[in-house]
Amino acid sequence: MKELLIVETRDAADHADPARMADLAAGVARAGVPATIFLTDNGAFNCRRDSLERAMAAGVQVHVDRFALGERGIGEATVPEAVALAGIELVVDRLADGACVMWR
Amino acid sequence: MKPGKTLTFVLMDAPFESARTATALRVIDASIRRGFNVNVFAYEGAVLLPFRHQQPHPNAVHGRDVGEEDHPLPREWIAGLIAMAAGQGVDFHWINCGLCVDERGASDAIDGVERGTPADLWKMASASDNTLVVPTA
Repeated sequence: MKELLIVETRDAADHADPARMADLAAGVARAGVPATIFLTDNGAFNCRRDSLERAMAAGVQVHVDRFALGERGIGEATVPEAVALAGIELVVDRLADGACVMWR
Repeated sequence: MKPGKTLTFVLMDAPFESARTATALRVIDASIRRGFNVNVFAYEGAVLLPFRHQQPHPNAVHGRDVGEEDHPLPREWIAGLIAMAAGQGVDFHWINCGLCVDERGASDAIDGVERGTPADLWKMASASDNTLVVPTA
């Protein structure tokens, strides 16, 4: 696998799986494969989750969809510095570059 | 297929039920704007996304008529994608799974929507640079 992108749409307060996906991304990153999590839809609520901090410590890049933040009234200034703001084009560009993209 | 990269998307959710459908359509929109050829295979409830008879409605609770409510319709978004792809000069194919269409009586789709089988998904995915499955929640 050249690269992994996980598109996380679920709020970790409602589902246990986003934490498991973050652990998966961390494991992939530790194995030497670039891994990214893109938070969109209700996944935008997950910016401050411990599971993401652990993933980022393992080398996972985390991006959050500006559009999803705006829809939910989440101020960009409240997003942790380590989480990058991005547009939906990130998903398109990774697909075009041949990444393995998982929509969760 | 026209020159350039081709992306295939697989959609499953029925209209008006999940935010992920609108987000997936945003990804498709961005793909066309990037100049990529796009295939969409819609199955299960997603075959109703381009259903021709979707209608906007007023909102009596908020005292808005049809025009003021401006209710968004997936069939109009898809028509917009088809028109934008034509304007961009990229290929765009939206194929509805025929089995799923028949189950739901959803055969009356907007112009530009094709009918196919899961074999078409396999062919499109095989010929694409990448494929993204957007499963139901």
